[in-house]
Amino acid sequence: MTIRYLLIAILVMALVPTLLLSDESEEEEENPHTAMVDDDFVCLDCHTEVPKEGEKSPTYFLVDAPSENCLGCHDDATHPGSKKHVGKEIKTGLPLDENGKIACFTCHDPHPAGVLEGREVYGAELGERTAEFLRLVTLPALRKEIGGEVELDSAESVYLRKPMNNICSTCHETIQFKEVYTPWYRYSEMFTY
Amino acid sequence: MDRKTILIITAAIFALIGCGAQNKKDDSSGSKSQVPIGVRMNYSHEKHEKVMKKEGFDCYLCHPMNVEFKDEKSAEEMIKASDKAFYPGKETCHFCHFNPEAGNIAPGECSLCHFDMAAITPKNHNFNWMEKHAIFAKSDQESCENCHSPRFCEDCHKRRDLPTIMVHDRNFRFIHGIEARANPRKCGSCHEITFCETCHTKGAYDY
Repeated sequence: MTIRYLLIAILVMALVPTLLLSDESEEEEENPHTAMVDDDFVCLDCHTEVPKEGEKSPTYFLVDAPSENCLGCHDDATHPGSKKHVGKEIKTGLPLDENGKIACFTCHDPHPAGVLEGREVYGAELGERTAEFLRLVTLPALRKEIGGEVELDSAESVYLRKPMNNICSTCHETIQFKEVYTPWYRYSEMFTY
Repeated sequence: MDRKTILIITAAIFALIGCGAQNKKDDSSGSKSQVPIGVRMNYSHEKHEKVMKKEGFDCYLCHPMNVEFKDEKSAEEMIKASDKAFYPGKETCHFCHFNPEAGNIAPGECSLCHFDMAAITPKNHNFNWMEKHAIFAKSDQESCENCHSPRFCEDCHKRRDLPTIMVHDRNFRFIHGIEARANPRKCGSCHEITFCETCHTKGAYDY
């Protein structure tokens, strides 16, 4: 009888750590972008080594090919516009991959503020008017066309290299206007091909 | 070399130069020889930038990049959905250019963007539509108003200076009484009773 109880006790003791471990694995992994502020080892999630002060490499010491590095966790298909940008050859002051092509990090900085000295990053919150229009007009139309739930991403912990309102114009042609102001509603008269 | 041969050679040279010029895409004036046909190709960022800024809008109004699809989708479907989200649908353009409910705040001519009007013309607007449109218009007026303003109807139905007869014969004013007595309902399908009363309650026909 005593042996039976002893066996049950051993079995329970052996199972408890296993159950605890399985609970831990189900827990959501910590966001490495925010974690890197306090933990230097997180750098090695993406980099093969931590670059020294002033040291530069065409591959940025990344574990994978530049954009592939991000795609381990992020899905580019879910990011509207990414397919239209990534891989395009362009001349810009923003960082490009080793072949001079647009990568995820051309617009996005994976490092939040405080990780790299002197590096400034910007949030990706939409302007009030734009967000309102998207909620009222664009999203209902997309839901109808695509089907299912479509929402605006809160864009929390998205870091841009430039402010939202001028990151596009860094590469896209800046439009020069004539000195004379023409009321916009008369543009139809000016419509020339 | 005789005169005839010289003439033939000169004509041939001019013809060759002419053909060459025709094949050029751009001429010296800088005008484009190729006319864009797609709606997206007609869009001018230059013409919109100022008003967009004035209204407090930015690039992401038309090209939202932070749209999130909550439902599970295949990779192919997701790419398609992202592409749809990244380029504006007609609702975005029509909000300013064609808004029957709130009114247009931007030029509303369909041909401004839609060069191929046949592509957006309803399928029933085909042969003999002029004669049969009344049935559709009476049964579903809202459907007409999706594209046409009431002025579009009035332009034909209330005009009397057209060389062609659009609704009534040109002498209908003198003979309408016969039809009106035979079938008053017929008048009522287009005219309100006040239309008749305007003339008839005066006690005389004030021509």
